[in-house]
Amino acid sequence: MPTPIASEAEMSAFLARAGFTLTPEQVAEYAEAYGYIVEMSARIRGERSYMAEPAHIFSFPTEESAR
Amino acid sequence: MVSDPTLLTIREASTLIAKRKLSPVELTKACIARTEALDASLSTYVAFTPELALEAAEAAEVEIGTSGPRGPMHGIPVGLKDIYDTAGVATTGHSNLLKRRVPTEDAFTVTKLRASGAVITGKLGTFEFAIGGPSFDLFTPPARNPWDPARTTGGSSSGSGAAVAAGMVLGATGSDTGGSIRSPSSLCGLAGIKPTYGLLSRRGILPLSQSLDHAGPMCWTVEDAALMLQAMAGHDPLDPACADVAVPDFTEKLDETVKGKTIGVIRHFHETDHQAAPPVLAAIEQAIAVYKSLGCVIKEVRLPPLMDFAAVGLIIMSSEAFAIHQADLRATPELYGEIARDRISMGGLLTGADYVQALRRRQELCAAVAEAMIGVDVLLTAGSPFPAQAIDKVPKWLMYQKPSITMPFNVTGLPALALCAGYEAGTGLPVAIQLAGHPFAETTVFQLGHAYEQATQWRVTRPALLAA
Repeated sequence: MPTPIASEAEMSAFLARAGFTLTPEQVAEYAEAYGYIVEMSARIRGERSYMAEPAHIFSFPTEESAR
Repeated sequence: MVSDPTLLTIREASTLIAKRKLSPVELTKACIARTEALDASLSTYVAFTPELALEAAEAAEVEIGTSGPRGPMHGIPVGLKDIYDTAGVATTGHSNLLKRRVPTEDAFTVTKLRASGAVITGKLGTFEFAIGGPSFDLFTPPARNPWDPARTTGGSSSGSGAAVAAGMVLGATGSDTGGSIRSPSSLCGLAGIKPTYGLLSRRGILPLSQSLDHAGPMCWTVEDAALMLQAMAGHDPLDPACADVAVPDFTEKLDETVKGKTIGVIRHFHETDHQAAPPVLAAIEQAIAVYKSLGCVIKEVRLPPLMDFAAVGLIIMSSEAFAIHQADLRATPELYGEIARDRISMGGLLTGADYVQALRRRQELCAAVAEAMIGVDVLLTAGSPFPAQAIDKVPKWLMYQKPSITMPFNVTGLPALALCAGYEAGTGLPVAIQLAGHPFAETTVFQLGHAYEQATQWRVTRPALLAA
């Protein structure tokens, strides 16, 4: 089960920022799915230093490319 | 005269064409007839273009008759997932939003395929914008699985999976952001490869997530996938993510021995992180036994949890997809199908910090996988944890509830091949394994996939509806 969202106000703020106009049923469904996102986001939020930079996603070394 | 040319592999058909024992027109007409017989029940195409296909086949026949074939794809019918741009033929992403969009140029990979002499038969159905499906609220219904039309093909390259399995084409293009080539290849009993990130150009392919999107081929055999990838590969200076690397001969190692190759089995992926169904687990053990019998070295490899890869992939994919679709989602949400709209909209609930943290974790995962692959030629796990589900019972939020077993190789950019590893007893549905290799080491991945296919009999069996 996903983590419940913190509050309706939080969900409303997210939806407003995204620019969505949703029915109450859609809001309820998005709120449920948002719980999964909260879990995933928490999972990958490790303790990293100021110097942990995401500039290079892939760095295939030359010797690897030549394999 | 070939009895049923639609059941030939690309290699077999091209050999016959080169010897003038099979005409591209005859082959194309057979594929058109097969499509006309089955498309009403399988819903594979969103735009079937038999007249254009016959024109191309006739041109191929004349050219081959006078100067020989350009290569193994010359005169071979292939379909295109409807996110590949085609000049003069609508490319819609299977979405009402783009229903009337007609590109003026071909995608780079389509240009390459045409240059190889391939015969384009039309545009194949997809999960909407390569993410939303199977959907019943689009302008055509979702593709159905030829092994059991009550089941899904998997997605998002759904029409591609169905069309190849049904013999409507000998190969098809797919795209793979989290498994969209490998999932339908697994569920439809095909060989499909998501090559290394950067090997194929993305230009002219409707994007879902720029840093995770990969193009690639889906075919009946591993050898065919190698041949079709060959035709699609090449540096595109107008795609900044396309690597300027020499394209090797992807078939050059196919017949070399695999004795001594090391296969790293990621047991925790399919045994605990996303526990696969019993027939899939059995197929993996049988595949390991086959590789042992071929002289391969088997070792167990441990990677970070599958859910870490899934979380990184989903946060990046949702964020990048939302950035692409935000304006249209705000302005005309009614033009999206429900599933695509809701899945893409999840990106609007993420923060910039979530995205950056996902990029940071992505780097760590790439490094962890590279270290685990030292001394290993390929990794092995399930192609899909389960056989095809009922088409009307695929949960909208499945990707959030269960970690994707294909996403790790989108996150890391490594080449990954799904290939048929048998059939579930009782249902006859295909099950599949997945092999992942080092960056730009597609030749080794193909070599090991081909060796497995040659050592097994799975490629003899076709969907029962073809016999009917």
